[in-house]
Amino acid sequence: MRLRNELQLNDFLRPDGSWLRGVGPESDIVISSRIRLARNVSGLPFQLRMSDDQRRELVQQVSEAIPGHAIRVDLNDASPIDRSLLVERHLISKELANGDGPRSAFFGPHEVVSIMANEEDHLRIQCIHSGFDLRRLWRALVKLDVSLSRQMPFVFNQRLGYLTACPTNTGTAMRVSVMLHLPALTMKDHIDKVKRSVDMMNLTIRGLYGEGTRASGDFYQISNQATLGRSEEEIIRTIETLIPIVLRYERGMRKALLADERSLVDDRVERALATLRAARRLDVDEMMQHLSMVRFALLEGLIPAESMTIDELNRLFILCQPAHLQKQAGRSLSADERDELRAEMLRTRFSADSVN
Amino acid sequence: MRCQCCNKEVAKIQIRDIDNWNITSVRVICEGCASFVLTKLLNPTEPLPSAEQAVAAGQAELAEIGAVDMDALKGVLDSMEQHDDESDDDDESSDVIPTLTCESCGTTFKEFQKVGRLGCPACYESFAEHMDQILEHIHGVVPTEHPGRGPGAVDTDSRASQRREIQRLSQQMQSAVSSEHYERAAQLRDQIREMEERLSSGRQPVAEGDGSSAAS
Repeated sequence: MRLRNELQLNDFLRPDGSWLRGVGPESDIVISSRIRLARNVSGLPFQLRMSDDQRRELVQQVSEAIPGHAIRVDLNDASPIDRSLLVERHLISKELANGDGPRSAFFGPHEVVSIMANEEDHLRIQCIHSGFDLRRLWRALVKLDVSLSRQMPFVFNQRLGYLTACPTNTGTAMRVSVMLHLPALTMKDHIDKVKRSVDMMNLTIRGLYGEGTRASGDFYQISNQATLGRSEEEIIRTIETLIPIVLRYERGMRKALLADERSLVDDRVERALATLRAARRLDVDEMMQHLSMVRFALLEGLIPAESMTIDELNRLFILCQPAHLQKQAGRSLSADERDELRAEMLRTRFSADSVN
Repeated sequence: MRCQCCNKEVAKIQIRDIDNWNITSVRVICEGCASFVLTKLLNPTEPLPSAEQAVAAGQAELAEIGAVDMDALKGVLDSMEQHDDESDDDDESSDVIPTLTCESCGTTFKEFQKVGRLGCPACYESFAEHMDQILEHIHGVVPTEHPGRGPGAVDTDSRASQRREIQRLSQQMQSAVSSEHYERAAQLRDQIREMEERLSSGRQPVAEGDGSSAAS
């Protein structure tokens, strides 16, 4: 195990493996899928009543139980930029980044599997991959869960299932989230309808970075709300059944937009490209907005496919996030400086001769 | 519980109308019907219907292809209405809770209500008199027996292959719904239901009486 409290950006720029790749089933709309399990270790109180010594010991226990090679980051010793970097890459939650006391993150070299120790529960185990392939994620996650449970007994109750610090996770303690890019539904103001519909079906729709975040750049996460009274299989199957209907809705809307309102679409796309080529300052929201339009245009063939790959575009979304920018600059930057650097990076990439 | 849309399959998905944070009606439907119902909700040219309207519309479509038992369904819905009324008075009870304290970790029920987090696994037992109601409120089901995995379950038993078959059929069902072949979808749904019933009752299609012959 490598203990990394100084993260190198190079650690994160590998082309393979990560959820950014833009491959897998339905990857035109489904950016990534993620499954997360909450686990607590027998013989310890939950976080609310844990001492720092107990937390430290737990981190140690986890680091010994993890099979194979993992990178370990102790959040207390990590810089604020590194903490945000991990959030931006969906490797840890905001809660873990901003929490206090001994707490750590572990992840594999491909960033597919990650484990948080001392978040809301003792352990949060997650698997994330590009595209819509929950079965594959689930298989990988079960393997990890089984191997961990052999080293550390998890709190389990025959009637209630896995016991968690918050009763919203009791049962399977499983959350399945699918990250979707829904530009057409956003453009046509149908997101509210999607929100209310999935809410009626006991699913949640949230912004890009989870609970409490607003949607940015037409990206949304849909996940299951209930974890009790259904099996993991049933939860996965429900998401597998319902997500394709949302996808069909988005695709239908794209088709209708291109057929009936082509000038509106062209206008939005051209404005996005013009801004990306010319702007001297771009904040995150505006960047997300414009790159979202470029992504849409690329997929619908409005921009020649050879000018940019979805893979590169997905990567740009992440590289232009605040912590990633600062990591590239090698120092902390003010908000204005970040906006300038972000605009510069995008201007270089989108200059007239490379994308048209 | 039976699906309140087709009245055939085991219902697993809740669909509810929410008005200013209050749940005004609940229907419980099966996975097969869920795709019909969500399709009704996500109709690009119509305003969003209520959950009840969407279930009714899904039902009408199923009825047309003969995949729903309308008469039996009425009774189910009526009993559900009464259930709705009963579950409304959760809030009043929370005011008269005496101070419960978890002996294992010292967390009080009041503290749990305030921070929304339990102190230790034993809190579930210590606060048992309220826990089921809280869990039902959150998850929409009364806890009976955990239907999911337990620690160490690798899922390599003989049922795994049946589950894979069910998976395969559900994928086919989804694509049948997507391509609007509702009749085929309903057929597949019935087939899946049958397999699931067999799986959950632990009944295997072969090997009956093997135990006794081995003993003799």
